Amino acid sequence: MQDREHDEELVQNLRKFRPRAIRPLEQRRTGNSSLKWLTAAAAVGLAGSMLFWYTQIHKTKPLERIVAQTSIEIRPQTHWSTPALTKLALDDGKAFDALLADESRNLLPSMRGERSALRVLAKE
Amino acid sequence: MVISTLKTAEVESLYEKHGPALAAYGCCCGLDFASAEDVVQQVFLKLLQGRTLMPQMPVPYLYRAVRNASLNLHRDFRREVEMPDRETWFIGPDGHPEDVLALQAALRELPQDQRETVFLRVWGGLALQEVADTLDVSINTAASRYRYALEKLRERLQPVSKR
Repeated sequence: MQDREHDEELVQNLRKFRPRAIRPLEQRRTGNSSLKWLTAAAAVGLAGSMLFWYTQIHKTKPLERIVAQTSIEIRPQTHWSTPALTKLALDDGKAFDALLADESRNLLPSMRGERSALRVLAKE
Repeated sequence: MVISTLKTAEVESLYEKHGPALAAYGCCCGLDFASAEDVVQQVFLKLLQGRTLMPQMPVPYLYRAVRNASLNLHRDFRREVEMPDRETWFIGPDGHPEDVLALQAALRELPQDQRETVFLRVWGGLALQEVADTLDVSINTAASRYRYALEKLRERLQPVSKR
């Protein structure tokens, strides 16, 4: 009985010592949430940019790529007026045929040689 | 056991009422005061974020959570078991820091299980059964630890209490 009273007295004395105050609760919940949203938005933006870049790179038409690969040199075209061509055809048939053949060689890509359009198409 | 999430105001109220004692309890578990504060903050932030479900009796749960976190932190960082000598985590009744240091020294000399038991009972205000649940021991063990701890504290604090 006396021990219990002594214990109570001791406990009362001990309770006079109060735990030291601590800093206020930091409610970082809002900050963390904002940071998460910001990170997510940045990730979406980055993914969108990469997708746009990728589609732009692969948007080039196949024929344009083929022509680019064949590295055709297009010479300046000589312009013939329609009356002049008609006169040439009437006056000199062979010269007219030679002119047409020459023009077609200049305008169309070469079908022979290592980097010809046919070889590029076959590889594709 | 009824489990629920707490509202922000309830969490803040618990923090204001029990935060200081919980931090001091973290010091009893071997942490320095700043680390103990951090541990208490983390426990309450989890409550605020709704990441923790609270039993119907929140106070024993909070002491248990702080205990687990403190012991984990202590183990992870391989800190020395001894508590800092001159750091105070109590405020004395007469404002004498020597009294506080004497009390802390007396607590430090107790075995860890007795130190925790007496802290939970005296400053945590837990019932013996709650102390036993928090420390995961039987109520008889908790009672005997408490009795031994009080005896040792009485012997060591005699000169201080006679002042």
